[in-house]
Amino acid sequence: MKIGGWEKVDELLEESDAVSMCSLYAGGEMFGIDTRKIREVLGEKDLQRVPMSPQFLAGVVPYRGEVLTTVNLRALLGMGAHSGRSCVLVMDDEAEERFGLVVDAVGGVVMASRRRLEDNPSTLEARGRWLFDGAYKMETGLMVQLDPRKLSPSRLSEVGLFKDSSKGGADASPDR
Amino acid sequence: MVAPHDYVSAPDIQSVDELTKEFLAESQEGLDRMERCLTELEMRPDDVDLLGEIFRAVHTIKGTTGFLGFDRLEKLAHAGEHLLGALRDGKLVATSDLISGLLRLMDGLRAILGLIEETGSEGTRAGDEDGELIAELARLNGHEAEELPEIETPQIALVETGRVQGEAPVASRGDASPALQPVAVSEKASADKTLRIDVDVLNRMMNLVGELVLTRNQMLQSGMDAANFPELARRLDSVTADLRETVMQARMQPVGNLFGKFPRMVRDLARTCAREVRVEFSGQETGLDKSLLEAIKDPLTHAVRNAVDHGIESPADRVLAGKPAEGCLRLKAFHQSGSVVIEVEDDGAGIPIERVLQKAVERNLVTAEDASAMSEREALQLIFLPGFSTAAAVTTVSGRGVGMDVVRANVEKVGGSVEVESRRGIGTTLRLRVPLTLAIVPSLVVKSGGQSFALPQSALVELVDLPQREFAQVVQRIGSSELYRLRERLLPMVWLDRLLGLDAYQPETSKGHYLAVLEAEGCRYGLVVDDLMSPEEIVVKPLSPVLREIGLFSGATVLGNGMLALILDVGATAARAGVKPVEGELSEAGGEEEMAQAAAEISFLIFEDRARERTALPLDVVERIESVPLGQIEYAGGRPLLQYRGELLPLRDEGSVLREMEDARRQGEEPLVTVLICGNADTQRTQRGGMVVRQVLDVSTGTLLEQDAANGEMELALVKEKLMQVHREFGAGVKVAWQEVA
Repeated sequence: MKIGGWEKVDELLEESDAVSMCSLYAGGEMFGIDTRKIREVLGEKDLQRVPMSPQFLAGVVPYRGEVLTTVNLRALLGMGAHSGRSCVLVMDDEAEERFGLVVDAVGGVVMASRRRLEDNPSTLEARGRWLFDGAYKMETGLMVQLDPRKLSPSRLSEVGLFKDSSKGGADASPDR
Repeated sequence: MVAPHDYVSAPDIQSVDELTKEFLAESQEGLDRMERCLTELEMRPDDVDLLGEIFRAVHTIKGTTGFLGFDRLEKLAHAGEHLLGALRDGKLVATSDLISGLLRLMDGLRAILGLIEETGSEGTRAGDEDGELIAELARLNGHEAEELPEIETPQIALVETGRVQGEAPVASRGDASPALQPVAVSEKASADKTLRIDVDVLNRMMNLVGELVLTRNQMLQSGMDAANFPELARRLDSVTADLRETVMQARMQPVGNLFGKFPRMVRDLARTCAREVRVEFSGQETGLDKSLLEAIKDPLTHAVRNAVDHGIESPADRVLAGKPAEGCLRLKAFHQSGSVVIEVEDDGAGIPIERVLQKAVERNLVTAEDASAMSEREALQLIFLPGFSTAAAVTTVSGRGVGMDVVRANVEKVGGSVEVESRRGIGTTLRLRVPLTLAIVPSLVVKSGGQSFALPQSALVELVDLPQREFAQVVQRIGSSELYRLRERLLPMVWLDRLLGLDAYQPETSKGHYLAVLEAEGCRYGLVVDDLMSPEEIVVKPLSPVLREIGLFSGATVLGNGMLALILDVGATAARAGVKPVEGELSEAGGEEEMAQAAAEISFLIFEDRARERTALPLDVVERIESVPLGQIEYAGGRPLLQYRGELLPLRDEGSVLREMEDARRQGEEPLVTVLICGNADTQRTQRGGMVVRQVLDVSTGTLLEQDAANGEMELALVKEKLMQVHREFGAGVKVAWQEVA
């Protein structure tokens, strides 16, 4: 590896290469999303679960006169429920529907160099290949990049990788 | 090719430029006007004004087209204009054929306009797509196609356009170039995305928003603890209410916009079915929310079709029946108790009840015995069952298997209802009842499994309390399904928490449940919920597609406490729980029958006035139940009086409740008095009075027996199978109090 000081110089020199990322955490892992794709960080919110909805949805939350559907990052990663309160980010891409992403905590804005981005490892399983978009090698470890476009609720339900768990309703069948 | 202008404005396939958009909107409006006029023209072929109007519509299109460079459109419009010119000058007579030709011209123009709107160009390659139509128009004009005179110069057309515009209600922009007509945007243009709003309404909205901002600023500055905070909150409330009302008003569209399409449709239908039909309208100006107008378009179209095809008889049959050969179809719209009613009325043969019954039995919708026992009203309800169609032959017009059940489902989807009335030989009336607006729905908020859900009031029939200790007695089982016996009808019970897979509350800690009796799409069932919250007027927010897919929720809303509640789709919930519409329908029919048998049964409000005695009043006499602080009750000449909504009501105090309460008051309490506000149900508002009671107990049905000879003031009644004594009051003879003796 290179010396720390050298890296800093490198980043300054290659400013055009710099990307501003928002770091966030789920289950002790660090993830990053391009700040241009984040509309707002809502902070801790009370989420209303929607019965019969896919497991990867954390619920709905009121947001500026709309009802925002939120995606639970932990559920996508196959982790159990978070013990503390969760944090909601509002994703907004012109072309895509607006939705919320629920994570354990939001770190802050970090500058990352595009040259430090590595592709997904070939050994990654299918879900990971869908969710992750490479990783930045940061001083503290890896920051896995997420692509909000692939995280939108409708895309997730289309792709079928996360469908296994529409829970509940088992005893609701009429012939029971 | 978009020809001459291609290189100047370079119309982009993606976006139609502003100029063209305005032209499209304006042309659509012109064609709408033309459509109306054409059908009228058939009745009054000599009306010069009508002809003028039609001519102008086509002329305007032709003029502007030339300017924008839509060749194909111009060619067609020119052919039409030429024909209309001859008609206007009296060289031709408006025959039925001619009008059909003109209608086709209109369709042709519409099709091209639609193409322009979609693709940005009129899509012509060879330039002869409309050759046939143009030739036909020429033939109607008595010419060969080649003989069309030269196209007039656009300049003249523009002068003409200006004149038409002068008649439009919206003021013209002063500096507008001739083709930049001020947009009185028709709601049809640009796929119903635009709306015409009165400028006054818009100004009012702006003012209100301004006030809202000011109030917010004041609130932010003064903070929660300020002395004037309640005052500010009140102002915010009133501004919000005003704003809401104004926005709703802006969304209101006259029903006439929808009716306008029917003369043409009826005309075409009448021709295919060989009927003679006249269409009459009333109440076109009745306002209805735009989204609702869209929602009832299809059901209404279906109803009109039915009326022409099945309702009105052939001219020969009509004459035989002693009716004029021309049938009459009336479309009426009016307000009635908070909803808009739209009636489709024909003076045809009415619905043949035996045929309905016969068909219902054939299709196994009812059993033969049930059918023979049915009243006429019940039999009529059968036409709303899925898979029912009485048309003997499948015609091109109706009888394709989609029938009244779809009409009803569509209307119920927006919180409305459908009724049908039919009199043999006189006609049929179909009544669609829709709420004024969709966006704000009165609903009841309930809790189940720790979550809040909103039930639309329109689907809610009644609420039943199921206390935990009585649960085992009132709930009956057949196999695994639970039923509630409500007034001798078995109601299927659906547990909301189980249906949704929510964690049920612990039975030990639960104090009981509530049963919300719901009715939608012909299903009636009881939804079991944990708790009832307040009724609220909720603002419906759409859900994202993923959540809509679940199919059980029609939207979400933010409650007064800031929490979100999902709005339950009552019909879909029934379907998910397996409640069948037919069952509901039949049990309803059975219930009605029962009601008819026991016509004398009345609902009574049972209460306690003297200590531990139960007394009853007919429910329709009681207007309200009020809780009044004792201090508000005044005395005049020893008689208690209550000032109630600007009226002075005499109070009756059979059980000396007031005296007891006065005693309690002297000991420092401020007790609340329960007063039944009673009116005379028949004559309304005369002879109102109050009745002081200890507590209200129940509502129940009973039968009125004959007068008791022993006491002129008393009557006897059976309530809950116990003999009751009744005595007449207030001299009106209608207000009666019922006293239990057994």
